[in-house]
Amino acid sequence: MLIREVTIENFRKFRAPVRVAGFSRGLNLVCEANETGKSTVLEAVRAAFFERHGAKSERIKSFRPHGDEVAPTVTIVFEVAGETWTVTKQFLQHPSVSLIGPTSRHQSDEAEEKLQSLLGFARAGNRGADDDSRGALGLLWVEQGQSFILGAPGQTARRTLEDVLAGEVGAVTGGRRTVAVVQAVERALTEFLTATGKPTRRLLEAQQAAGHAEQAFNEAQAELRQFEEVLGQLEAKRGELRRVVRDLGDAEATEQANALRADLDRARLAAERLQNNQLLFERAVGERARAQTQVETRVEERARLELAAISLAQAQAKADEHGQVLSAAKSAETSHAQALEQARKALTQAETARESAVRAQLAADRTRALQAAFARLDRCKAITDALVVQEAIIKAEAIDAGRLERLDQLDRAVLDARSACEAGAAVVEVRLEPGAAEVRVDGELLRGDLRRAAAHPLSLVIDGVGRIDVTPPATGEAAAVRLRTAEQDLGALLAQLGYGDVSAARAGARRRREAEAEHKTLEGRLTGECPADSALGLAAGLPALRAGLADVTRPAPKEADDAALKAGALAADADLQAARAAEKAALGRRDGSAEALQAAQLAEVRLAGLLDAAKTHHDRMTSELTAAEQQASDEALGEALRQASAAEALANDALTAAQRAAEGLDPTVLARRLETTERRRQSLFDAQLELAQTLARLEEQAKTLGAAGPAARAQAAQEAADLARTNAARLAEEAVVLQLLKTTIDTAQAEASRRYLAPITERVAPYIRRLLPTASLAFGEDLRPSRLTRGGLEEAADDLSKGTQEQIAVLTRLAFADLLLARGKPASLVLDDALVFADDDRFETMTEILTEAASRMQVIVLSCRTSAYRHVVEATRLTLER
Amino acid sequence: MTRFIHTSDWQLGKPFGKAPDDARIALQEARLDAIGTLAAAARTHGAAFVLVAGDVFDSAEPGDRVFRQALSRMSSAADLRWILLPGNHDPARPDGLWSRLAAEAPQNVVAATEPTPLALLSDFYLLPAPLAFKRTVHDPTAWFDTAETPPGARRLGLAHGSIQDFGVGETATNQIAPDRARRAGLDYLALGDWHSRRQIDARTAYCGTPEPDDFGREASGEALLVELASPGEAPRITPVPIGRYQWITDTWTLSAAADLDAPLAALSAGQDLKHLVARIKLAGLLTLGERVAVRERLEAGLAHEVRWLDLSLTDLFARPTDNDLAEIDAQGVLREAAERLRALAGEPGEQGLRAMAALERLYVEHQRAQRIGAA
Repeated sequence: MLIREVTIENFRKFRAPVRVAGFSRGLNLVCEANETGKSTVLEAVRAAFFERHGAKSERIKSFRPHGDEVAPTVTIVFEVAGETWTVTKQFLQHPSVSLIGPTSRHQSDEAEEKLQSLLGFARAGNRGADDDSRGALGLLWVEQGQSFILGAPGQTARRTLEDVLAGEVGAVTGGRRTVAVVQAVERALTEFLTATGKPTRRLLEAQQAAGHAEQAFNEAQAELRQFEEVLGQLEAKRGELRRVVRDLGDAEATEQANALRADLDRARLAAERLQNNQLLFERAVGERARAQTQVETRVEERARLELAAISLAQAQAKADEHGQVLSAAKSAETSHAQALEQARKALTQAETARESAVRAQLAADRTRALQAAFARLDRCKAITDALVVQEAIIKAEAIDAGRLERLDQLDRAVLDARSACEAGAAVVEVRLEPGAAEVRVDGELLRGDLRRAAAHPLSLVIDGVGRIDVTPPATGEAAAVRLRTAEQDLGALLAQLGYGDVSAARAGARRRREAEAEHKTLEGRLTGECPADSALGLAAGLPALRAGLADVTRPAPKEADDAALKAGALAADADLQAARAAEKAALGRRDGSAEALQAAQLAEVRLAGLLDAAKTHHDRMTSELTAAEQQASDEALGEALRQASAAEALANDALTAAQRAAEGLDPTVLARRLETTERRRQSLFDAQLELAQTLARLEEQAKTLGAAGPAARAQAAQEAADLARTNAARLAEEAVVLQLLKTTIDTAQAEASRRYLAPITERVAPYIRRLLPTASLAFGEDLRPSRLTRGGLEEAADDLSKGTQEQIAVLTRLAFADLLLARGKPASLVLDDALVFADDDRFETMTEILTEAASRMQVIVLSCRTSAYRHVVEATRLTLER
Repeated sequence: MTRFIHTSDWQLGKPFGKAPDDARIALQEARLDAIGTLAAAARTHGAAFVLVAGDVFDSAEPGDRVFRQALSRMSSAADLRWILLPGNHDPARPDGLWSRLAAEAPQNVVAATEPTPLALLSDFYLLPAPLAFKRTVHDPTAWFDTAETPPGARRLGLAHGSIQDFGVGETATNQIAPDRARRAGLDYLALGDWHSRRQIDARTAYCGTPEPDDFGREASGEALLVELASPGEAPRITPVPIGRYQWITDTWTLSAAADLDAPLAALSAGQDLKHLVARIKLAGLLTLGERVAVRERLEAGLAHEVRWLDLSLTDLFARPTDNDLAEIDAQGVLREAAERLRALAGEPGEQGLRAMAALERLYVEHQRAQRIGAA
């Protein structure tokens, strides 16, 4: 879409025609000062396209220059899809429109419709064009002061965009029909459920109606029950009354009462008689019993006397018998006591015999021990003698181990000193030839050859020859002194020890060592010969042995008869044991017979007591019986009993007769029955009166309740309740279905909008990033920029600064225009005094973006800021031509 | 020749609680109007009296309005005698409806509430078998066999109950011996309880209800004209149409929307639609569009033409086709929603049924929106 030329006449401030021509394909700048009429030009362009020529709204009227009744006229030359069109629209006076294309010419409404289809906008409403009708171009041709409004595109524009988007992503909201359907579903749902899902309106009404119907049914049911209860009661009471009346008129009942009265009189008489006879009979029974008791007592007394006699005889016999037992016990006890005495004597003898046997054995043992001890003492004597010999050797040889070591040291020192002496000395060697003269060395005659280290001055005197002195060098003097000292020390030690030379000393040391070893052995043997001796009470050691045996005579070396001694001791033991057993047995027998004697004595006392008691008892029995017999003889007692028995039999007969007479005639029972009969009759009278009253009341109730038709009402109410319930359930189900439908549509819508918004978001993203690096813009379903995300933070688009909002609004329009172009739809961008809030950097960025956009579409910028766009060299600059 | 009308089961005051309000009132009124129609028929055929074999009222306590209306309508036909028998719906309980009726009825209305012979005409005696309870186990007509009537008098029986067990498995109550007429020497035994006409033997018949009152009943909406000639001769029994409304029940199985044409045509050909009470059950499998169309055609058309249409669509299933969905939209949100619902509808159980209903609703709402858009 390209605007090529615009001519305006009689439009607002332009009475005379004004023309703007030479619009290029790219960026066009119309820079004029304020009040020049730039905005009027844009208004005229929008009017020429979007307003209906015949419209007479206030806005259209405002197009007229103030106070003039002229016809505002606009002519625009434009290109769409490579074809050039000219539209001329005249408003208010002789309104008209003409649209001339390359091959066609359109007038009036036809021209309007052609325009709409060419440019994709909708027919304006009665109140003039609005955002909804203007379509996409309305959105892209932004009037002064509108550029910073972050509004949602109008309906037509949105639909156009959505159609475009649909072409790109294959999904669309469905447009007006969808809205209508969604609204219809929502409207329908509001008839059932509130926003929070609670029943409302129709559903609530239906549920309430169901509740009411249920209640009405319950009430009707209760009423019916009440009515039926009344009828039931009525029937029951009627029956009751019939029975009462029947019972009251019953003749038999009266007769029965009379008979009862007669019976009662008879019964009372009979009862009296019975009572008398009972008394008489009881008295006769008493008499007879007494007589009988007397007879029985006499018989018993006799029997008891007999028994007492027998007891007495038995006691006597027992006492006699026991006398013998007692004397036997006494003699047994005496003989057993004597036996015990004898047994005790025998025991004392056995004990004495055993003691002497033990003593003999002990003496034999001591003798044997003494013999052994004396033998040991003898051996000890020999050992001590040998010890004395060895001690003498040790004493003689003074050289012990320490001194031997000292001797060795000194001997070594002499040898060392000597060899040192000889090392530095000259050696004098003399070899005499046979027959040579005598030679004296240091005055001593040399026999044989001489070889000597001359450690000391040495003189050789050769007879006949003279004297030869050999003087050792002075350097050997010290060694000679040391040798002398060593030899002195060694000589002193040998003298102290008493040995002539070293080898004698060494032999003495060896002898001493051997004597010491022998001495030790001997001492060991001595200790072995003197152990502790328990038999003689001796401690270990030679002194103890010597002291123990000092005062003891050495026993004669004689063999003791050990075996005989042992046998004697064993026999004495056995005798002692036997004597002890015999004593115990005798003791037991003596104690047993003593106990038996005591028991016999106690029994004797008891038997004597019994015998006494039996005698006393027998005497008392005898005297009592005698006394009784004097009072009444046995015959008299028998006669009295016979008479009493006869009287009792007579009384019994009389009682039986009286009982028979009273049988079946219990006056208490009869009286009760009579009373019951009379009471029943009275209660029947009472009941009759009460029933008559109740019946009258119930009949009235039945009439009143029946008139309302309770059964019919109950049935109707039940059916109504069923219907209401079904209805409520049906509506509830419908609500659920609607809810499901709504949820499903909502889900689909959310899904769809997410998908179809993607292309816009994508297209606007690079622009936004150039303006606000790191920022991204999100759109609402109505295609309105909704949120800006910067550095991870989300901001509502409405909360951004005015300047930023305007820039975003412009960029969003640019993105929309791109989208339209991409789908071959007419698009161009017109901005009137836009970007007034932009700072220099942003302004520059925005102009860059617009300049680039101008390579794809026509961009017309109307501005009062000539200098601001001076740097935009690619722009076509236009002016208003008057 | 003696003529009389045999009718029964008026069930005046029946609530018809399941019917919509207007239908309910009309149906209730029609039952009362049947009294006038019966009177007219009796006069047309020269009948001297009308025997009503029980269930005059729908309940034992029908309420004053129905009670008064019934009495006044019978009393206005003063040239006829109406003999009314208590049935199981309106048993003669003491102090109830029948006591009131006996006390307040006009002279030409007789309440046969006692099982005693009733002189009808000079030589005709009626043996009534009134019911005192909803259910009795003994045969209420048993006493007919030994009932004493003057020698030579002709005997008519009037009873309410079943000859055979009507229900399945129910305990038979109020059962009447099938050969009672013969055993009791009756010229005719007029029976009530069975709402359809049915002849048991030459002298025993059910007349059915004069005004139909439910679906699935054949031969109802009639009374019987009974003509008795000389003794020993079988009576002539002729049905007389009385009822206003016809109740039909039918199942229409459809495999296409057009399948509805034939049954609809048959329905309007057979009777006066405004006096029709129809229970139509639709079955089959249609496309979604067809189901909506069928439903609309019935709900917007037939439902208003007949007195009461009890329509069941439960067994008429819809299989949403691609065409159906395309009609909703080729693409876009509604199409997406429709696809989702179609998928859901494929699942078994309640959720599936709901999804199907929601899809149908979407289709309907969409059509509606389109119509509004087009307008």
